[in-house]
Amino acid sequence: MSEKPARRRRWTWLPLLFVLFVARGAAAQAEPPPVQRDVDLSWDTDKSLLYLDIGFRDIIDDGIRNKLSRGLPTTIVLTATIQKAGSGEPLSSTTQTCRITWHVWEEAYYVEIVRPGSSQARWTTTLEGVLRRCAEAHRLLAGDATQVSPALQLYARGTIQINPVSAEVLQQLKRWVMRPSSTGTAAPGDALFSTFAGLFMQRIGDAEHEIHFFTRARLPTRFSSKAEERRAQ
Amino acid sequence: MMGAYRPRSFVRLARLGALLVALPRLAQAETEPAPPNPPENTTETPTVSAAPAAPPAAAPSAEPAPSESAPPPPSAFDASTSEPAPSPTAPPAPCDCDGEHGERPSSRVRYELEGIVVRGNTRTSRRVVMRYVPFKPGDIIDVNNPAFELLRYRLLGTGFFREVELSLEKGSRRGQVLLVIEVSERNTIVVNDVWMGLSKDADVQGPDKGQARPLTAYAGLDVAETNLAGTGITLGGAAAFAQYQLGLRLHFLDPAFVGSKWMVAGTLLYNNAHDFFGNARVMQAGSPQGEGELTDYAIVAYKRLGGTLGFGRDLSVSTQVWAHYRLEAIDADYPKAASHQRGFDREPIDFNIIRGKSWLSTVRATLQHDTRDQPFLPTQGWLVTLNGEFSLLPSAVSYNYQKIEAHATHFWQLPWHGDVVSLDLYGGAIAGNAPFFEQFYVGDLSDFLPDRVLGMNFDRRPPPNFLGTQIVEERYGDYALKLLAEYRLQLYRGQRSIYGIDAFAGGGIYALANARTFSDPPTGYSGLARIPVDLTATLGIRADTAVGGFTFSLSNALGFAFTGKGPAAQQGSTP
Repeated sequence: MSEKPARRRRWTWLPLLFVLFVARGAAAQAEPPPVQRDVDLSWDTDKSLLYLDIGFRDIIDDGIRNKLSRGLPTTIVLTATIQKAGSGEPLSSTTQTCRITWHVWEEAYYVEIVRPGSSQARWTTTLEGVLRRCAEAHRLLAGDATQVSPALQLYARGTIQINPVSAEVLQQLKRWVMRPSSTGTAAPGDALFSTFAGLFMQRIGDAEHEIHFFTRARLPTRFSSKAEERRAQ
Repeated sequence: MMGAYRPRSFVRLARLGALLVALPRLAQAETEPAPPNPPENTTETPTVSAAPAAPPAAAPSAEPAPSESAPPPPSAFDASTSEPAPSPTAPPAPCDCDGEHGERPSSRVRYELEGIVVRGNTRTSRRVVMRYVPFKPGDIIDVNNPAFELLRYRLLGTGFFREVELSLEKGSRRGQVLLVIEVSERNTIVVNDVWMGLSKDADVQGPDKGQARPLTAYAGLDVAETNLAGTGITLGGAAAFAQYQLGLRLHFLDPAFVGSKWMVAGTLLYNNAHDFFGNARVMQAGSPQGEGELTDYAIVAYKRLGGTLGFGRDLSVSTQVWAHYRLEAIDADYPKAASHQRGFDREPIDFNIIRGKSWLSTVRATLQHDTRDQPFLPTQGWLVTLNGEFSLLPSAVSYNYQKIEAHATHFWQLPWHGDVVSLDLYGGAIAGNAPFFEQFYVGDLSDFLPDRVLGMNFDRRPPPNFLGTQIVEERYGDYALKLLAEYRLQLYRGQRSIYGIDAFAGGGIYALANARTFSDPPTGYSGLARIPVDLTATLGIRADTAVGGFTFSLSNALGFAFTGKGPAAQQGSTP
C-alpha cells in the first residue's frame, strides 16, 4: 500500500527534473553578459547637449579586418542608451552607423557614417582611417537637457554590431529557410529540417558579431563648445 | 522636438539605423537587377558609377539636433545632397597622414562580373554551390545588392558548410571583378529521427501461452547524408525494430534534377511486420494462437517491398507541389477464419488486406503551403497540406482506392510572453479497398496511443474512449477528422545549442469511422454514443536544439492508464 504512491510521486517529478536540467544547461549557454567599457560622457554647457565618446577597436579582430577589404560592404553599428545611475530606465539614446566598402580597383575604403543629425561619406586608403571613423565615436550626440538632468550621475548601456541583419532581410531569410528552394536539406516537419533551420536562423541572430557593454556611473565632464571654437579660430 | 528623441527601444533603433543605411537598395535590388552601367572606358574610368548617391537617411534615433549643435553641415559629398555627383574619374588624390581622401560623392559601387570562383569545396561540387548564385559572368553587380547577403546565408542554410565568405577580387581588366566564394565544409551526416517507446500487450509470441510480456520495447533511427559525394543529394536510411517486426527505408532527394528546378525524391521500403485485429473475444481458425479459443486479437503477418519515385517543384517561396508514383509487392498471412465481437454481435473480422501476394500501385499528388516563421516552434503562419492518392491501373493491381487528406494548422502569437496558440484541423476520406496500412489508424489520431513508425503498428490498445462512444470499435477507418487546439508557453530562447524550449498543452476531439459505422452500427450503442468520437490531449515540452527538434510528451505514457472498452468487454460475456 505504501510503495505504490511513493513510486508514482517519483515518476511525476521526472519531467520536472528534466525541465530543470535542460533549463540549467540552457542558462549556462545563454548569451555572454555585457562587458564593462570606458565611455566618456560630457556636457556642452553652452548648448546643453550631452555627448558620448567611445572606442571599440578591440572588437575589430583579424576576421573583421579581413572582411573589411573583401570588396563587399561591412556595417558597424553602435547603439547606446543613457541611464541614470542606479536606474534601469533609459533617459535618451544614440546610434552611429558606419558602412565600409573596399573599392577593389581604387584600392580605397568608401565609408558612410550616419549619426544623429548628420550623415557623411568619405574615402580613405588605410585601415586606420576606417577604424578611426567606425571603431570610435567622438562627440556623438546622446541627449539634451530636456531629457537628462546635467546634475545626474549617468552610465551608458549599449551594443556594437557587425553586419546587423535587418528585419527585412531576416524575414526573407526565414521565408527562404522555411521553404529552401532547391536544397537537399529536408522537408518542413522533419527533425532534420528543424535542425538546419534552427542552426541557421537562430545562429544568425541580430548580427554577424555583437557585443553588449555598459559603463561605470559617473558625473559627465563639462566643456564649452564656444570656447573650443574660439581656440580653433 | 527632443521629446521624440527619447527612445523606447534602442535595439529597435539600432536596427532601424542599420536598415536605413543598408536597405534603401533592398527593394530596388529585389524587384529589378541593377541597371547595367559598365565602365565607359575600362582602362581609365573607375568603376564607381555616376548614379545619384542614395541618400543615407539621418539616424532615426534622434530628431535633428539643434542647429547650433549639429555636426558640420552637409558638404558637397554629403549623401543627403540630391544633386548628382560627378563620377570620380581620377585616382584618389594624395592623402593625408592616415590616408584620408576626403569626401567622394557616390555610394554605389558597381563592377562587371568577370567570373565566379569557388574555394574550399573539397567534397561539394562547384555545381552545387553555383546553384545558389544569382549572378553570371558579364553581369553588372552592385556591391550593395542584398543578394550577396542572401547568397551567403542561403549557402549556410544548405547545411553543407560551416562558414561561407564572399569577396571580390580584381579581374583581368579594370572595372571587372571576380566573385570569390570561400566555403568551409561541415559534417553533413545527420540524425533525422529517433523513435523509442513501449508497447502494451503486443507480445504475440510469448515464451509460453499466458506468460506473454505485458510491455515490449520498440526503437528506430533515421540517418541521412545530406550532401552525398558533394552532389547536394540527400541519401538516408531508417530502421525500426520491435518484437518480431522490422521496417527499413532508404530514401534520397535530388534538389535539382539534372540542374533543373525540379526535385526528385525516391524511397525504397521493406517491412516485415504484423498487426492486430479484433475488438474483443476473438475466435479464429488456422492460427497458432489457438484454434477455436477466445483470444484478445488476431494477427496479420505481412511483408511489404517496394518504393516510390516522385517529382516536385516550388510554385512559390511558400508553396510546393509533388507527384509520386508508388509500387509495392505485399505478402500477407492471417487466420483462415476469424471473428470478433463488434458491440454485442459476433462478426467476421475484415483484415483489409489480400491473403498471399498482392500488388499496390498508386499515384500521389501533394500540395503544401507553408508560411510559418519557424519550423519547430512557429509563432505565426499557416501550414496547409493537401494530399490525393489514387490507384493506378486498378485492373492490373490488387487494390483500387482513392484517398484524400487535408491538414491545416494556423499559429497565433499572443501579446504576452511570446506564448503561442495553434489550431490544427485534419480530415481524410478513402473510397475503395485500401489495404489496412493505408487506412486511417486510431493511434495516429489519439495522442494517448503511439503513432505508426515506418508504417508499422507497435501497439494494439484501443483508444481511451473518454466519451463512451463506439470509437472503441474502430481501429482502422476510411474517414478521419481531428480538431486540436494547443497552447505553447515560452520557457527559454537562446542562440547556441538550445534555441528554444516551450511547454505545451493541447486538447481536441477526433472521429474515426467506416461506411458501416453509420449504415450498420454496432449493437450496444445508442444516441450520441453512436458517433465514433473521442477526446485527445497532449502535454509536454518541445525543445529546438542544434541537433534537432525534440518533443517529450506525457500523453503517450498517460495512455497506459486509460484503456477503452466496448460494451461486450465491459460485461465480459457474449449475449
